[in-house]
Order: sequence, then C-alpha cells, then structure tokens
Amino acid sequence: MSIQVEAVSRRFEGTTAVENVSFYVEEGEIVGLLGTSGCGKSTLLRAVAGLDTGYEGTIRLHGQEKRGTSKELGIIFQEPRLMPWLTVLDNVTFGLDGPKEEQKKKALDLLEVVGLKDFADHYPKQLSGGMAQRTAIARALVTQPSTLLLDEPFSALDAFTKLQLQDMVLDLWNQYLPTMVMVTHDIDEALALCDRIIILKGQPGVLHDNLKLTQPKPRRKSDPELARVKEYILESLDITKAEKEA
Amino acid sequence: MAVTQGQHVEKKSVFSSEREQNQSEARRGMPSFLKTAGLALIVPLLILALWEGATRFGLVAGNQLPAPSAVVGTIWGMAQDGSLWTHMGITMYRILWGFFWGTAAAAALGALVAVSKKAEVLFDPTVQAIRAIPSLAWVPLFILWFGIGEPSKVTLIALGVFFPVYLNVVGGIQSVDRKLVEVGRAYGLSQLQIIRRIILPASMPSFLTGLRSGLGLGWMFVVAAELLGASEGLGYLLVLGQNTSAPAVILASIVLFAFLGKTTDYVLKKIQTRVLHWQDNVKT
Ligand SMILES: Nc1ncnc2c1ncn2[C@@H]1O[C@H](COP(=O)(O)OP(=O)(O)OP(=O)(O)O)[C@@H](O)[C@H]1O
Ligand SMILES: [Mg+2]
Repeated sequence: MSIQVEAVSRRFEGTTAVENVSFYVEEGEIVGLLGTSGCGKSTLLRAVAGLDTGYEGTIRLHGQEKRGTSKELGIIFQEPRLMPWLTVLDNVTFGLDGPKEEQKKKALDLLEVVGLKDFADHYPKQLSGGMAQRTAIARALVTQPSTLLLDEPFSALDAFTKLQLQDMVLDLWNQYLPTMVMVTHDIDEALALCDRIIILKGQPGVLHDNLKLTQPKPRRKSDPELARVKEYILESLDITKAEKEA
Repeated sequence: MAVTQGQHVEKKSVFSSEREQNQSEARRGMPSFLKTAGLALIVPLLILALWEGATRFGLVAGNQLPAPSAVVGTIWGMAQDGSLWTHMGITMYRILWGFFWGTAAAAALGALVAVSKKAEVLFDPTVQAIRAIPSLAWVPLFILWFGIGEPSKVTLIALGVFFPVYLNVVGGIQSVDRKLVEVGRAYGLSQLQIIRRIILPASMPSFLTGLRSGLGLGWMFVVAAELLGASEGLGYLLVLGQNTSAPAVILASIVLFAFLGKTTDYVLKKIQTRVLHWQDNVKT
C-alpha cells in the first residue's frame, strides 16, 4: 500500500478544516479527492505532501509514518508557482539533480510533451496562464516521482488544453504507473482518470464515500455506466437532498 | 453609425485607420522620442540663455552670479591644471568606500534579521532607535573618534547608506512569496538551498531599490563630510568657493556633484534593469 491516511484531522485556530478522514491509495492507483469548495481537499493534500505538519492522525508512505516532504513525491499546485527569474527550461529543471546536459535533455523532452518546446527560453511573465500551468506540470513530471500529488492541476485551463493534458497524464500513467492523488471538483475529470474517487463533504470536511471504478482506461465519455456514477455522485453531493433523506 | 450621403460631402472616407494615421504622422515629423527630448530641453535651454544674457549685459553682478560660460570655464581650467581629477577622484573614492561598507553591513545584518526571529528581536529595535537619530548628529563624534581624515568621512557615508539598504533587505526577504518557498520545500531543498535559489533572487528587486536610495543618501553625506573639514574633494571646493568669494567655483562643484550623482545612479539603474529583466514591471 502506497499511501495510508489514518484518522487525519486538521484544525486552524478554532475552525476545523477536515475531521477524522481515513483512506488508502494502492501502488499505481489514481485516486481522486472530490468535494465542494472549502471542504478541505487542499488541506488534506498538503498534509499528504508533508508541506503541512500540523495535522492530527498518521500518514504513511510505503508503510512508514512520515511528517515532512519527501523526494518521492511530485506536487502540482493549484497555481503554477513558477520562479519568475528562471526561464521555462530552468523552471522545469528546478528539482533535478545531475549533469546539466542530461537535465536539459529531460526537460526539453517533457516540454515537447506539454507543447512548450518553442518557449523554453521564455520567462514566466511572457506566458499565458495555461502555458504557465503546463510548465508547472512539466516541472513536477520531470523528476519521475513514484507518487504525484495534484491539486486541481487543470482547473485554470481551457476545455481543449484540459482534455489534452488529461490524456497526457493517462499516457504517462500507462508508461510508468505512478501513484496519483488528484484533488478536483470536476466530476468528469475524476470519472475519466480515477480508479477510486473519495468524496469529502461538509465543513469540517468528513469522508462521505469511497467509490471504486473498474472500467479500463481510457474511458469513453459517453459510457452509460459512467453516466450513472456521475448521477450518483451528484446526488450524494447534493446537500438539500441528503438532508431530506435524513 | 449612419453616414448620410451628401451631408458630409467634405469627408473623404467613412472610416479612419489608425495605421494610416500613424504612418502619415511618421512621415510628417521626427520620431516621437526626439520630439519629447526636444520638448524637455526647451525650459533648461531657455533658463541658460536668459542667465547668460543677464550676466553678459550686466543685469546681474558677475561676482554674485557668474555666467554659465564662466562656470564651464572654471571646470575647464581645473581640468587643465589637473586639480579637477584629484577632487573628483577623492570624492568618488570616499563615496564608493562608504557605499561598499554601508551596503555590506546592511546586507549582512538585514539578512540575519530577516531570516531569524531571534536576531530580529535582538537587533531590530536597536537599529530602529539609531535610525531615529539624524545621522549628521554623529559627525562631531566621528571626528573625535576617527580624526578629520578619511575614516570619519567613510564611516559617515556608510552610516547614511546603511539604513535604506537595511530596510529594503529586511522588507524584501520578509515579503518573499511563501508559495515559492513551499515549492522549494516540496522538492526537498535544504534551508541553505532555499535561501540561495529562492529567497535571494526573489528579494533582489527590493535589494536593488535599497541600493539606489542608499547611493542617493551617500551623495548627501559625502557633501556633509567634505564640508566639515577636507582639503580635497568636490565638497572642499564648495568651502573654498565660499571662503574666496568665488561663486563660479561653487557652481562648478554643484555641477560636478550633479554629474557624478547622475552617472553613478545611471550605472545602478542599468544594473537593475539587467538583473531584473525577468520582472513583469520593468519597462523594456
Ligand atoms: N492556513 C489556513 N488557516 C486557516 N484556515 C484555513 C487555512 N487553510 C485552509 N483553511 C480553511 O480550511 C477549510 C478547507 O480549505 P481547503 O483549502 O482545504 O479547501 P478546498 O477543499 O481545497 O477548497 P477549494 O476547492 O476551493 O480549493 C476552509 O474553510 C479554509 O478556510
Ligand atoms: Mg483547494
């Protein structure tokens, strides 16, 4: 088991962001964290990433308890977070070690994949929002981390680029089967990519459901099975309906 | 947009093209930057002409206000007997040394205070308290301690340079985007690597701003230091001019101060635009 989250809660001076959440992520699995805005998805991901250590509970990576960052994890944030003083190429190689030539080759290969090869020498101020986010994706992928944590990586992108990059992530996943935890509030995105969808709900966020999707990837958008899952998720996120049932 | 025919007979066309207009304007006159430069020069040239005329025709007493040509003549004379280079050289030497030491001390202490909470509590209140003292008030003490020679002057200039640089270093480092630092942590960089690879470049804009205002203050303090006892330097020329009732010498010194001040600031500005070319707000 690659990542285990056991009874994690996080409190910020008085307010509780997430309460007693437990789930696990198998090796090579793509797990989606789905939920409405403010239910603590980012908070949870930051705890897993080790960027936030103020949580209660335990998080294990490959069975070992950890608090703090690890080189095995690659992170893609909600915003690009590029270093404005570095070119696109240097931003991509930011987390790489080793000989310069090798770094450059790896980075250029990935820039080709995200369609930014011609912009390698540009500075972040010269990029559009989508291009900046693609650069950030390349930066996270270039180290070939065994586990990728993604916080709404595509939410700032246009529909075309989004689909294109989702395909790219799937291709990549097919190539070396990284474990992925992906925060999203796009149900279609979760349905297209994830093996499991963890639904968080409420404020403080609690674990509401843990869905397993067995359809092989890539999946057709028109798959009637998926449409049913989507309906189910929409219903379970619908607060008014849930209250009526209760 | 209703253009009724016949009513606007004199109108050539129903549309206007910015492109065509720009082109015809370009054909008509000189490039726009020359135009603004020409415009900016009108007032100073007019003043110089009036000034020159007023002294030539005896409207003002020449021994009170010498003509611009006389000032230029004075500078020319000093250039030929070589004293110009000694005075300018020693002034430059003082400001550069003072600037260097002031910057070095400010950068070191500022970085320490910005990075460590303990150091901030330890040093910052003292620095702020000393900052409240008008720096020129130190002059007598420095002269007592270091004598009238170079050390007291360099110390005074360094003190003037210190505060703006210090404030900008501390402010710059403390306002580095926490999100960028987090990227470094996510990649497992050590504290030292984070400082070198993220905090240093990210606080560069603020540091350079500090350098420029520090240099400006440095020039103020060099004048003060040289006024208060020097046998060489542009500030000494001010005293000399006063004592020998030679306003041309005073004006020459002022012109030279302006020239050197502008030149050194220009150099820093060039460095600033070069180092910060990645910044979104530096005009290219
Ligand atoms: N550093 C912080 N200090 C105080 N409260 C915080 C902090 N970070 C998050 N919170 C609170 O925790 C809750 C969850 O925030 P979080 O960012 O995890 O939401 P999210 O599910 O990622 O939402 P979104 O989909 O809008 O990104 C919010 O109520 C927020 O106000
Ligand atoms: Mg979030």
